[in-house]
Order: sequence, then C-alpha cells, then structure tokens
Amino acid sequence: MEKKEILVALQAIFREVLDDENIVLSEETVSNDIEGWDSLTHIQIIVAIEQYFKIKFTSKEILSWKNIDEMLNSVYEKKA
Amino acid sequence: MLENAIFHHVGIAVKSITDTALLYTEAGYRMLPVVYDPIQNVNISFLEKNGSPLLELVEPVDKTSPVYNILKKVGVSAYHFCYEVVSIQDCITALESKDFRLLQEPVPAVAFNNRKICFLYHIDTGLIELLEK
Repeated sequence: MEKKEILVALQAIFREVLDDENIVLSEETVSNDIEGWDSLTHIQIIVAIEQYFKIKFTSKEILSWKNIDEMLNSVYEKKA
Repeated sequence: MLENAIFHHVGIAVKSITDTALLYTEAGYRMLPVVYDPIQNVNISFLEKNGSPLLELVEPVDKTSPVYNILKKVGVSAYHFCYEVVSIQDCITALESKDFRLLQEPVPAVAFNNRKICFLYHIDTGLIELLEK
C-alpha cells in the first residue's frame, strides 16, 4: 500500500470520527490544526484506523506521534 | 476486567459548574469546593449525597480543555465512570490486554490530593478513569 493511499484513508477516517467533511490532512498536520482532535478523539481515531487497516498499535506508538507523518509511517510499516 | 476496582464517581461534562450544581443542590446534594486542575485545564467540583453515587462536575476553562469537544458534540452529559484501584499501572496493563487504549500516562490530580489518575477508552465501554488509592 502506498503512503498516498494511506493518507487518503486516514483523511476519510478523520472526517468520519470528527464529523467534519472539510478536514484535509497533510503529512505536516498536527492536532492543533484540526478542531476537535483531542486526547479522546485521538484514541477514537486510532481505534478506527486499527479496524480499517486490521493492524494494532502499541500505547507507546499512539502517545508518541507528533504529526500525521509519524502516524502514517506507523501504518505504512505495519502494512509493508 | 475491574474485579478489584471500586466504583468511585461519575464524571459529567458541564458548561457551568454553578448552573448544574444548583439543580443538584436543590435535590439534596452537597457541593464541594471548586478546584482548578492545571494538567487537565478544567475546573472540578464534586457533588455528594448519602445513598447516591458521587458526581464529578467537569467544566472546561477554554477550547484546550479535554471536555470542550464533548460539550460541543453532545452537550452536558455523563462521559466517564471512575474506578479506584490499588495499582494504576497493574490495572492499565490488565485493561490494555482487553483492548482498552490509554489516553495519556498517569498524572497527579489536584482534585484527589495529587493521587494518580488516567483515562482509558474501549470502543464497547467508552471512557473510564482510574484513580490510584
């Protein structure tokens, strides 16, 4: 799976969880850039990502990501 | 899952502690002093009444407060149950094995005399809080 495809899927998940069709993700996006992305919705997004990609993240990974790029790379590595 | 945990309180996200507390105090609850938690960036007050569960009113200070989005999405609402546990770390480990996800590492909470708290989420139970004894 290409990183670009993963980013498109992540964007769809963010839009669904945060109920906002206007969300546009880039690799540089951080939580402050997106209204409603807080510690609880972060975990809800993670659960949705895990279900969609059929992967599992560790708590260490989840709490360490600083931007979408790091999240995207974690998904990419697990799907490689 | 939480075999040795003791139920402690229900957390309620409120727009105004004063406004919500008024309704409960009229119903016989006693309101405890409001405290500011700088880590969570929220104001907190407890409501207690004999024979009823302890209620924790959690009011956002600004948009960065964790309950801000809950209020925006669903309005004033109960949003977590809190359980008191002997070892927060042991309980986190046990719950993570059941697919609970940790929102953040345990932190001291002003409202509980700096005892450690943490929040975990499970898609089938929602949000729970752990409070270390």
